[in-house]
Amino acid sequence: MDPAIAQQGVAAVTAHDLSLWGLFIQAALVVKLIMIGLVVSSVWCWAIIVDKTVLYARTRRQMDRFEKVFWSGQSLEELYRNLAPRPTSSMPALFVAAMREWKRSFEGGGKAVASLQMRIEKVLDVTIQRELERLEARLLVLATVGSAGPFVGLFGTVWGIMTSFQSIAASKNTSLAVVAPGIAEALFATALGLVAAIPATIFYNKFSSEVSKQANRLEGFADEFSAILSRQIDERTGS
Amino acid sequence: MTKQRTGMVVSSVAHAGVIAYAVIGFTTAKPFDPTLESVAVEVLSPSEYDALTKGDRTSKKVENTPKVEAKKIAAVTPEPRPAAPEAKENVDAPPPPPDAAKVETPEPKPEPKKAETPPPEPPKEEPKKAETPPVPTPAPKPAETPKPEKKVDEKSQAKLDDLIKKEVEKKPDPPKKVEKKPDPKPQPKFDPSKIATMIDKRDPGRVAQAAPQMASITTAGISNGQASQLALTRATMLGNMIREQLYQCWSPPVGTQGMRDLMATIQFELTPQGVLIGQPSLQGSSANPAFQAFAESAMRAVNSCTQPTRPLRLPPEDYNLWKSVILDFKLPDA
Repeated sequence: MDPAIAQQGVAAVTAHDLSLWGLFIQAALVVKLIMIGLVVSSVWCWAIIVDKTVLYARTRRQMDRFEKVFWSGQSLEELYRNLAPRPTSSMPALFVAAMREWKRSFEGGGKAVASLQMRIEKVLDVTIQRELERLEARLLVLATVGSAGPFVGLFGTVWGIMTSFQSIAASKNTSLAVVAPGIAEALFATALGLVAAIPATIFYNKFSSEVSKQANRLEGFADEFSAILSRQIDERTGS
Repeated sequence: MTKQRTGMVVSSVAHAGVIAYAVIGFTTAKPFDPTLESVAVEVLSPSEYDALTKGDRTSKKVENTPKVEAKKIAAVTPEPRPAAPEAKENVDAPPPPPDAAKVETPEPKPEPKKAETPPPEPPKEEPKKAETPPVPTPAPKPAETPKPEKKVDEKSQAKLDDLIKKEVEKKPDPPKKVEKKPDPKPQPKFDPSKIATMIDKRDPGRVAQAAPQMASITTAGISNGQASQLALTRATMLGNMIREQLYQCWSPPVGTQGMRDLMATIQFELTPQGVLIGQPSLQGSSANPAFQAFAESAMRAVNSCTQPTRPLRLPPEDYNLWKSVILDFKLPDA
């Protein structure tokens, strides 16, 4: 027996590419698809996370600025004239929607004042719903990835271990060198699932608490604003 | 929409970066080092092992637990610690310059004298015990002498004169020894087989039967000894060598101690370098539930002791005999 050949034989038995890329390439087709899906969902999750972080920060800033202006004693008519032409969101949108309803009612000569209070509240509710929808959009993706990601990864692992056990049965060799690469591949799928799911879960919790905080703030503003408007209505109809 | 796109771009770029880092930065996993912790054990030579299992022809007792014949090592008279190998080196060293040759010729003289001096070995062999205080002092000096000679061979002849002076100064020492120990021993030879006795620092006067397993006479082999021939053939010697080396790598699974009916027959092939070809294969099986773990531990032992970093050391001239090995792994008797 030529020693060189023998050495090669030994090397072939023990040589397994255990880098991350190697693990991916050697995996079975199903496991590969799962890995790709998990990476894509991770990319998507992070895109949502970046978007939402920016959106919530901007919304918070917008609300702060608007509240400062609103309570500064500036005339509401003037404020409305400033804000109306531009597309607005969150608190300014509430204000603009309520003011528009108010204006429309009084522009016609003050005929439709009786149920104006009710209409304004309806408009405010609808606007709050729309704003919340905007804030909550795509948060469910995070929730789904956060809860399903580990299961998908686990499925890949189970599949990979299944195939590696099949190869054990086929080769009739139980040495660790035969079993280990398959298991490493399989576990890689779970690792990817966790990598996708952990940030998704964390940020979903953070964002949902953020949304509920902002919703409370919007509702509080809507109540205050409708109280102001109702006082105005009563003053105008009473006089 | 633009916001959404920026998020996607940021996320994709970040993921691409992480994946690139994973592919480039994460190099392949480092393999575990198969070397095991070495445990100091007494080394049995093949002949000793055979004596253990096959026993002594003259004995008539047959026992399950073999007893090794204890020899009184104190009775062995070890050769004096040799200046001899050093002297050999000097002789072998080629003396190209004539001056150096001159220098060397006088030097062997003092060393034979040293060699002649020590008939009572213990003081010479074990100077640390200092049974005779005056001896150690002269002993180191002659030992130093060969080193300067080497230098002489290698280095310039300018230093030769100084060295010669030193040698002359040292020469007065040996005669003292001669006075002390008058009976001369002729020509000490360096015998490699006696190294063990020379290294042995134990008390030379110790009692023979130190261990309970030792007996003054060996038994007539053990009742379950397997060697078919009484003589130590080449094949059994090779088998013993392989077993000796593999058992050092072998850690039987916990819980199998004392299960003496467990036996795993492993077959494997070796390169002339003593490296495993392919995988070891297990022959046969057993109903014993511990058998699988036991057999796998034996296979692991074969695997770990036949790696290129740690091959089996066997006489290459007998490669035909150990090209393909079938070995029974059995637990030693507890």
